[in-house]
Amino acid sequence: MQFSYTPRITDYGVTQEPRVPVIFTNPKTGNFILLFCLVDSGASDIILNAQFAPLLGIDLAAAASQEYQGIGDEPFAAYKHPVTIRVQSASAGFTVPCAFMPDLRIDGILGQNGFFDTHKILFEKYRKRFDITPVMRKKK
Amino acid sequence: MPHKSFNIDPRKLAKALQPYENKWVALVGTTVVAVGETVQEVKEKAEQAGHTSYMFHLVPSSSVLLAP
Repeated sequence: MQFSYTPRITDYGVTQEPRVPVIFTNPKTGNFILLFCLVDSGASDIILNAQFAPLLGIDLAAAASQEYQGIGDEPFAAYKHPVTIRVQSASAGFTVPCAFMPDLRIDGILGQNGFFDTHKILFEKYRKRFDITPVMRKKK
Repeated sequence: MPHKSFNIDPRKLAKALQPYENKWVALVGTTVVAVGETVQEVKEKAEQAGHTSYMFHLVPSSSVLLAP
């Protein structure tokens, strides 16, 4: 699936961001949301804003916490819960751990664990496009 | 219920989002159908307007670039 980089107008000029629509479903409740997520190879995990947890029927008080460190930030806690992710228009979805972070100043980030290990991703920023292909592994 | 497939024109979307920095929005394609301070507020506004299938997005501030 090929996607265009999304331009964003900033005080420093136009920046191009690799964003993609992803459907997140709580496999326990069937509740789902669609988010315009940033594909971020520098992030360890899939991280969502904690405001989405109630919409998905996820109780963060019962979830395991984990600490994260951004550049220039103090470490902050997030709460992990399994969620099924599917890039919109993809046929395959994957149930992977997602971290829900309170006060996250972004909607959602698709990081290495859970996204880059379930999808082949080819960035071609010089063409303002990127490709995402779900990777179906054979069960051993 | 399956989601509609949104056809996103990135240039149109960038223009549509420009007035809403630091706000949560609900999008149908490149059209902003609800705006709010929280996800719950946006959900309620979008659904009150009759939308059942929409995409959430938090519009970043124009004064910042994103770092990992």
